[in-house]
Amino acid sequence: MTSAQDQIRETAAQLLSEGKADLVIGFSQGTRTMRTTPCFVTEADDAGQLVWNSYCSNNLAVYLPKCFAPDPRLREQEPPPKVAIIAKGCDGRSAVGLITEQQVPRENLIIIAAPCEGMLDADLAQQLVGQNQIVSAAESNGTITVKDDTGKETKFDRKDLLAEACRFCKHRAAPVHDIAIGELGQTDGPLAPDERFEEFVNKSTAERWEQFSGELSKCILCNACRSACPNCYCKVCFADQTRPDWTGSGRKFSDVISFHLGRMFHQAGRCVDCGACVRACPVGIDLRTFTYRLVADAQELFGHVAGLDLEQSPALRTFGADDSDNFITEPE
Amino acid sequence: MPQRKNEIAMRNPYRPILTEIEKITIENEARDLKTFRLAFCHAESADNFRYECGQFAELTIFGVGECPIGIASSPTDRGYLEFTVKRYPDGLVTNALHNCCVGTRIGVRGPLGNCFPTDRMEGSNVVIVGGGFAFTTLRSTIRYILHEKNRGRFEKVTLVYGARSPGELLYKQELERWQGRDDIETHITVDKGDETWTGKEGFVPAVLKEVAPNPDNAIALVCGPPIMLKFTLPVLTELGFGSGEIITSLENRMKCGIGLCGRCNIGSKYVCKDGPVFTYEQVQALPAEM
Amino acid sequence: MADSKIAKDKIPELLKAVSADYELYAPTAEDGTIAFRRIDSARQATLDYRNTAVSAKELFLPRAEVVYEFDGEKFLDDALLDQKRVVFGMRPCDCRALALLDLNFDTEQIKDPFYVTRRQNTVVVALACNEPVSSCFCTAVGSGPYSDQGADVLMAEAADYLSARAITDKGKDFMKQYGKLFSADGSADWKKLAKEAEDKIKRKPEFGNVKASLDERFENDIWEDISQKCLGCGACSYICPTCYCFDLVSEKTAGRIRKVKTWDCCMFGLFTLHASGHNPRPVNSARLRQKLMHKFNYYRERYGVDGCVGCGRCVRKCPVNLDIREVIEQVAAAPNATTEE
Repeated sequence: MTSAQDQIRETAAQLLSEGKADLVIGFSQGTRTMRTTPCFVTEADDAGQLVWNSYCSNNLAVYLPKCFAPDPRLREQEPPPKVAIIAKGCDGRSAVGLITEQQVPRENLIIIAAPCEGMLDADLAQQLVGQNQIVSAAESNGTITVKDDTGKETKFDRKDLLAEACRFCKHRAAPVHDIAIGELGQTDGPLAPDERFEEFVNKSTAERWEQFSGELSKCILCNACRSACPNCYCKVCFADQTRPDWTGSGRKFSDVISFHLGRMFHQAGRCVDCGACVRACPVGIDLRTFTYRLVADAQELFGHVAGLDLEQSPALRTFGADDSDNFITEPE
Repeated sequence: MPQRKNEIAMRNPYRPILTEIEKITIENEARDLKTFRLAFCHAESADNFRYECGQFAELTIFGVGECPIGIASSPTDRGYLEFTVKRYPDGLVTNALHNCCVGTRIGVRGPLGNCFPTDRMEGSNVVIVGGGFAFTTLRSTIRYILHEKNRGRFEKVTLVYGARSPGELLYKQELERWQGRDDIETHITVDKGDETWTGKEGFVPAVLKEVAPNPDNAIALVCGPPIMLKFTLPVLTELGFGSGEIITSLENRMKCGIGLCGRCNIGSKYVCKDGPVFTYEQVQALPAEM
Repeated sequence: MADSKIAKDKIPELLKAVSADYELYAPTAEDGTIAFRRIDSARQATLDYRNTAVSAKELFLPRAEVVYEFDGEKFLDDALLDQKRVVFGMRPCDCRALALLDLNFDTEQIKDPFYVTRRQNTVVVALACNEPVSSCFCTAVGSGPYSDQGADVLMAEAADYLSARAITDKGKDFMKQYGKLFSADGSADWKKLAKEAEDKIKRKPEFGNVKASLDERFENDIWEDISQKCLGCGACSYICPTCYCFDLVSEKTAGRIRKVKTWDCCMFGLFTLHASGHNPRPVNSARLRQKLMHKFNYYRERYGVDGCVGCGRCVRKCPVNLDIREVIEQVAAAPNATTEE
């Protein structure tokens, strides 16, 4: 029986050789243990580079707007390419979002849904092992065996190494796809209760502010969260505008807060909770607990879950008669 | 290379000196080019500000930001500095500056950068070719050369300067005065004249070709928009000017202006520190990222 | 070679004594990350670490600092650092990074007084590496696990003691100040220990001819290929101990105008955007090229050394695993043909 990886390679090679795709975006082996790296295949012969394993964490949809954006160096633009993307649930939902926001033409995109049981967090594994470096990892039947540079082996249950976003993922499979590889994961319902988020929302306002400002005090304003997010494709981000200057010089903590509050609220109804921002953050800020507030709000207030349906209009662009109006207060 | 007059030990190079806008001249018909004459607020800074032609300064609009502008006045103009600044629709600082009135405090950091090689130009013929609003530091150089204290050090001076239309020519009154002098040969041209224009019509490169200055013992200073440079530099080369005898001034996005922030480099050269003045030979050695 | 040593169980006493005389910064573990933080009675140092996630660059080049303050009439006094500080436990790669930053900020013609006073007022006590990480490549860029460049004192760990040697005059003064806690001992064989540590660095990229390869390949299709996965996020520059590009912005509050110097990154799209709308580096490939050129070509041209210390943070933290070691090798191996028109 061919593995998902082999099927992905065959599918990619076929699409390219038949001219159905100009580019296949997937993953290839990384330079470090327990890592893969995004891979851009344009020749059928190179499809063998593609891998599919428990470390294919990045949200590849972040590359889609760039594939279809005009090249500033060309006076006459080339016709848009046909792009195929190997998509987990999150990549697939992001792609749907980008299509409905008119950043990606549906007819030029081939979504190849790949089977995902949640991706593993290499940094978490390293943290659990301690200071000795992990040099190899093998997976078998739900158990991950890592070996460190002293030769010591540690076994982990797969579910204990899941990336934070994957642990609470409700949509393992790309809801809209053109090709399906293997047994796709479940497409709805929580896999585990989201304890961290529940803990956060049940805190008092003061406690929530303490958690929020405590986490964000680590922020160095590197903008990696923004760059890794498929939804952040604005040519000029609000944070970079000078007229008006929304986020100040970046020196004061209020500038950091302005940036993050602004960015998070811009995700309302759009965020697919893929965890790309958390993964990209070099200082380990727990952004998910806060962005998930906007995801939950969109569901509670507007019955909207992002990225499941091509026909669905973006939440903040639609006004329905049933929309909550509890923000309208009676004059005193 | 000019001696850097800035003090070395632990002066704060980010801090500007204070000046005040003394006079504002609208230079062109489109009204987006203004010359600001700045008077020093403190006599000490006036004495310490010694610059050479071709250098620039970072102008501070307090609370808004800074922009790097070539110094348009000549070192022979004592007690004030002049800067001719174009207002860009998207420019935060240039817009703020154009909205300033006489009396506004402006910060100045400078003089910055290297300069036109006036030492090397001594005893030579000087050919000055300018286009559009890149003419500012060339104007500084002409004022310097024509000054009675300096004129004797230079040989023949030829000027070719052009703009899109008569209304877009900078320093109109000065151009007229230069045209009346016999120690500078002026060729002022416009791309397209109007009903009152009696002067030359034609692009700068074409006029330069016509004028055909002699390359022997001559140095050419050329400043203009990229499109003008693209066609002018070959003309000079054809006329026989070596690429070491053609001098130009480059621009780039800047912040510190003192070679520290890493922003304005073209290849390994910082436009603020190794430039902005470069020979054509040096420019040709730079990688293609302008 | 070392010339003195201190027992490991005496280190807390040393740090306590130092923190009474100086502002002391050392690696601490908090919230699951190890970073250089101020040590006081409430906070313990940990020397059981490989390297920090973010470099200690922040202590010398703060992420944001005020470079002047103006009240409308006059300038206020500059807020220069005047406290004496000790940074304890910095790895040799990070110390060498300070020496590289000095080349830019502390020159004969111009000095950044904020950076220079921080350097002058800080004693750097380095801790050599016995256990490099798989992403380390310091030996490929002229550094090493026992390099003393940029350090005032160098220490190295043995089983139950740290051996030490003063490198600079400032270091000698430091060792004299706390001489009571050290004993003279020159037995630690640093040369052997250094070799052992160097041998642990498995991946040794060949950077010898990098400048020449980069010179020949400014215009080359390879840049489009290698930059495809790069997000232009800037995380690499921010955590890098040698990246120093900065922005100067105005901050205006009631009655006060401040000029703020903040970290910036050549990978950002707006970095070189002109007011006219022209951008000499309009695409990601041009910006990634600039980053690599700056570090391995232009820095060498200006100062004779690479602008990289091989600490490997960018390798560890890049969200898409764009590995600078791999990328440099790919560029060097690219066919030397110019981009087709």
